[in-house]
Amino acid sequence: MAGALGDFEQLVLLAILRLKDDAYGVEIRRAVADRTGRDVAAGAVYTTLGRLEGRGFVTSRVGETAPERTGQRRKYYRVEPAGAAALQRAYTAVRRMMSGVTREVERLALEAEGE
Amino acid sequence: MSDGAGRPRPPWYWRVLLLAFPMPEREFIRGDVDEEYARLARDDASRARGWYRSQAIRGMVTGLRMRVRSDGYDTGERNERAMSGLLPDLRHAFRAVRQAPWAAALIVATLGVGTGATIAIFTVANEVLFESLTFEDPQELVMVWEDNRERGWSQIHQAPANVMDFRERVRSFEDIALFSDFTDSRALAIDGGAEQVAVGVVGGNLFSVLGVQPQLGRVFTMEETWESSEPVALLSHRAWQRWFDGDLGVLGRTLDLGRVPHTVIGVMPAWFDYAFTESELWVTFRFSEARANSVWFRQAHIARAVARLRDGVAVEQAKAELAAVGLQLQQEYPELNRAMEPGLGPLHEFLVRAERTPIVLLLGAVSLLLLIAISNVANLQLVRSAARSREVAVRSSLGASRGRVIRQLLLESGLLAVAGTALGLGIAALTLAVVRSIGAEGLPPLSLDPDVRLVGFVLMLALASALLFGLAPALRGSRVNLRNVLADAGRAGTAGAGTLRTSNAIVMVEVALAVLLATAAGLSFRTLAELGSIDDGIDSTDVLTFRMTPPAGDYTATQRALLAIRVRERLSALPGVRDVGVTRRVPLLGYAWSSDFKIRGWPEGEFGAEVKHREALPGYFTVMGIPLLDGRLFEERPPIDQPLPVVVNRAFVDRYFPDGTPVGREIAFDRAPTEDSYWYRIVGVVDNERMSFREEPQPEVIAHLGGDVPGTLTFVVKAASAPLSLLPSIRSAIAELDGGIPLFEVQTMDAIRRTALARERFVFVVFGVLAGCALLLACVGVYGVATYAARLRDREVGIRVALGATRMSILTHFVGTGVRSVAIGLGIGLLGALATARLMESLLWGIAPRDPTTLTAVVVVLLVCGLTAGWIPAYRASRKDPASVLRDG
Repeated sequence: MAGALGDFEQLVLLAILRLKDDAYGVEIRRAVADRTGRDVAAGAVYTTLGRLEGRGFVTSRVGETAPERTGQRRKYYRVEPAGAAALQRAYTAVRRMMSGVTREVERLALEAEGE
Repeated sequence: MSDGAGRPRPPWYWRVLLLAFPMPEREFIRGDVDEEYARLARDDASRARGWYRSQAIRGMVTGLRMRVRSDGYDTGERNERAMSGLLPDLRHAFRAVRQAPWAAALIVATLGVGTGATIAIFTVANEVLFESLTFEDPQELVMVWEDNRERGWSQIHQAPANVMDFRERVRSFEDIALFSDFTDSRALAIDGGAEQVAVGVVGGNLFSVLGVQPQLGRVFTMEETWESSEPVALLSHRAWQRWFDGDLGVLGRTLDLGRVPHTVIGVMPAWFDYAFTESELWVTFRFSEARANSVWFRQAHIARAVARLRDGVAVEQAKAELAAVGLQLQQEYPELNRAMEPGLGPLHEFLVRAERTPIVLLLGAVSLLLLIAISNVANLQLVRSAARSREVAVRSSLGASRGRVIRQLLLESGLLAVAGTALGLGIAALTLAVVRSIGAEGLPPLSLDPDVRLVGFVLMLALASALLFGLAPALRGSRVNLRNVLADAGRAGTAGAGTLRTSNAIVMVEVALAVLLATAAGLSFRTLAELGSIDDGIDSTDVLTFRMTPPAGDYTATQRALLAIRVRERLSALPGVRDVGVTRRVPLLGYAWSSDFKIRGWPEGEFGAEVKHREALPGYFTVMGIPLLDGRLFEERPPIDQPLPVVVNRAFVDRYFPDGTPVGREIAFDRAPTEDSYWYRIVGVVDNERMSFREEPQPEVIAHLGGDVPGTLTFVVKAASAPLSLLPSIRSAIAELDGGIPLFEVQTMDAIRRTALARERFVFVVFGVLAGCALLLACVGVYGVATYAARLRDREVGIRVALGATRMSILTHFVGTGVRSVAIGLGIGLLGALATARLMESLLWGIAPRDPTTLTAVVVVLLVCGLTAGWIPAYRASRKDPASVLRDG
């Protein structure tokens, strides 16, 4: 279980969790883009998903196709316990690091906005 | 909306870029991108396209990156290490490309143009030449024609009686069927109105010979070839959908076709796009049995014949047997089958024969272009890597392994190759769109969807060439001895000189190939210009033409003639109409009929051969501005008690009456007139008009319409101005006489003139584009080599300048070296152009394939372009500050 989760990996994992049974490429990309304002390339999502799958954080199954997909099937993802654990570790790490400096962070961030 | 059939499809050429993704991920990614595209396209199609494009381009990079790490893609750890080497290399490659942006841009542009043009032209050729017929066992199908050596005819139409005899006697044929390759045009009555539709006229057994099954109902039977059978019709799938909404109950319905009731017996399948013509529906010939033994039946060469060979019979075998039967028929009917020699050949070859020469030439031309492009890429790569041999040597000496260096250079070449081929796909898509719009009038209808295998092949070729030539120097470069290279740097050392020699040779080849293409373009341009400026003998200003076919069920020949006269009277009275004429056929589109003739009083056995003839009403000559040279024109309603009047043209007089006048003589269209022959009287001589663009005016006889009233009448209307604006009043005037006759082929004479040149224009545009590309590429080649040569000799130049050589002398020296390879290339190219001139002959008109003016122009243009391309780097080299050159070198 080497290496912590990257920033984008966390977003993708969270997106999958949010989408529940509907977590496939298009929707994952949308969820991340809609909530974070990041413009993500379709291919980049798969690079990350491939990595997450390789590390046992998510599993996938090949699903059905739809007319607008010109015959290509969808691939659905699900977060595994290991993935959730990694997510939690990442979140805990951030929370612990934040504790005590939350106010300072807020103050500085406000300054950044003001500039 | 999401499941409608009219969903916008993402552009395939961008879609191709997504192939960069490795399987199995590719399927899901492409699906995702397509799905998202469909969603976006619902709101804003152009935004969706922009999005798709950006996804495709970004995807190419991501996809390649995924491939690079696919060895350890799902085992995080190992992956990181593999990437640690590759990513920096990739970054380095990008940087190296960016450092020499012009060289990179040239390579990309060259690959793009080369592959783009190749894909486009091969797609056209593939469809026209190689796409196999969709008939059952197409290799068994042969076209059966007739040659006549005595008259210099080849592959002409068949007379029905002869074909009926082949059917009986030639055992190599399983069956043989007749069909007409002139699409008939008839009025189909629908919902109270009428529409002019294209009707294919065929022998009853044609579809069985072709092995085509109907989608619905049955095909014709052999008995239905004859008039005694009930009139029946087969609908095309298109017609069935349009007029009957695909109603299954259409079988047995009665169609009013030319006011003759026809029973619908079947519907052809959707894929069956009749290979010979674009017909909406088919009917049979319905030959009269009474005429089966008539002279006409064996003399009228009106139909094409297609045969199916028996299993295992070779084409040569069938040919021999057919020839033997042909000989029998010659002996049995010595008068009618004089010098008749039947022949046959594969059906598909016959169908594309008209397109073959230009397409084969274009294929040759585009292969030349691809060759130029590839040699150019090779050249540019050589120059690029030679310029970097020092860097390579330094990297090796610092411990980079040979494999690592090769990988580095390959990555660079690969980047350029991928970008170049992507550009090529874009160019191909664009070119095909242009060809589709220009070629529409001059070529058979084409779908022009590039064959995936073909595109793959060309792209592979381009990629391979770019990588290969990127690799060759890489191999050499990675082996070089550091000391030599560093010591050699900046001087025209052996390696540099060797590269220069190779590059110069490549430039020669490029220039030579460019000469060939430029000559072809020049000749086709001259042809177009010559044809465009010929005097067709008519004044086509403000002339409108249209055609109509009075339904055979309602109009006898005499009634048709009367209708023509009445329409003419009505239209002449319309405001804005100056005059109205009627004819069988308008000029420039080819002759209608020809036959032998005899002038009364000529000695026994003497006759005129193959005079063209046509029918018209007198207004025709005034509308077309054709002057009367002798005698008079015929009147609109000639007296009944006298022979029908005809006029002849100047070419007729020149050929048959060089010393006198034919006016007043009588003429019959038979070589040996009998009691029954009809004699016309020649009343006047008119000036020549050009009936066919590429043919000098032939001797022609124009008879009063009453002589043989055409089934389809062609009207010509001279307007005071803006001829098309008269159309509504013309339509309503005709509707008052008979509301059920549709007008068709409504166009101005000027438009006909343009259409007649569509093919020449098409050939010129394609050759022109190819030659332009070749010229550009050749210049790029010259430029590249000159730049390299200048760089190799930087130091020498510096010393010379320091020692007092003038800039002019240095410039002359450099340009002189460049001129040599361009001149040698020109020489080789000219010899090639002279040697291959004959290939172009069939496409030319009015100029010789070795036209000196064209060749001179080609040489001058190439020389000027070549010199300019060579001059720029030489000039730059001569302007360099000697001090800096000597210091840096």
